[in-house]
Amino acid sequence: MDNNRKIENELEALAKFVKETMKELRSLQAPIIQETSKKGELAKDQLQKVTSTTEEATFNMLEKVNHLMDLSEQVKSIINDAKENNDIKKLDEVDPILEETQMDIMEIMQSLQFQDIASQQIAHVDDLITAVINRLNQLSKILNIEEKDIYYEDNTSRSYDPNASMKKAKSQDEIDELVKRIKGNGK
Amino acid sequence: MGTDITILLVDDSGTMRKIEKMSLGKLGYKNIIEAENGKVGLQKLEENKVDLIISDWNMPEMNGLQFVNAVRADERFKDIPIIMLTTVNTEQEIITIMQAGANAFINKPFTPEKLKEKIDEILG
Repeated sequence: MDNNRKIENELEALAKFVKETMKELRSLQAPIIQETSKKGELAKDQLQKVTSTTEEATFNMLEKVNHLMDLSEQVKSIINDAKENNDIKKLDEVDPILEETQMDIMEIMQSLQFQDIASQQIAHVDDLITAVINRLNQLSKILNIEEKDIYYEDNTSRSYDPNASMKKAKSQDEIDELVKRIKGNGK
Repeated sequence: MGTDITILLVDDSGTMRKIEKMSLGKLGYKNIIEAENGKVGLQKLEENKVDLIISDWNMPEMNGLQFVNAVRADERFKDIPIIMLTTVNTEQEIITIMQAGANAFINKPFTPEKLKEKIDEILG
């Protein structure tokens, strides 16, 4: 066999090897890329949820604070009137305003629960990002970009509901109905 | 039962425990014990006489479901009423926790009125 033929055979074998290797690499990378892409999308959605959760809660609280400021002005004016006219009966008008104040405070407390919900959403994002980094590190190892194994543990300091939201999938009335059914069935 | 009962709050979120405590205080309940997970909750039950438990579901160390199971399995605590207060609200999860022995289920975010309604319902 002449040298040209030998080189030709070698090149053919090399091309076949490269083709096979690429095929293998693609099959190895595909699930990694698909998974990281899916987790990246989820993380993006969760971060959007965090933004809307905090924004909505903050907006509600600001509305209530604004209303409380109006109410305190009303109380101030009633007290001044009562003083100027020496009319103690006028102070009765304060009672319904105080009730309204209490209701606003309760609603602010309800909105403050966004902190718990947002922190669960963030814990989910944290886990998704950790998973993406681990998969990318795995890919780096396969491609010999990185020699050592790098693996980050999941965030175990917080247990969370990945679907936590200020907007409920089921209303409390629907839950009450379901609980009634479960109890009724003697389950 | 009056408002002088002792209530155990089990929630890993300090913010939520604070909000729950304030809401209960507003309703007249002042004797509140706190625990950051089910495991600590069980310790608190050992140390105190508790009349009502309000528990979260998702908690590290011991979650709400494991906690309810442990409480119901213990002869000393099995009759203490439990209200689940959680963000979890799929039908299957609600069925699971109610079958485990919770007495009521409240979804977060909650209102003090709803909490009062459930306490009154359970304690009569």
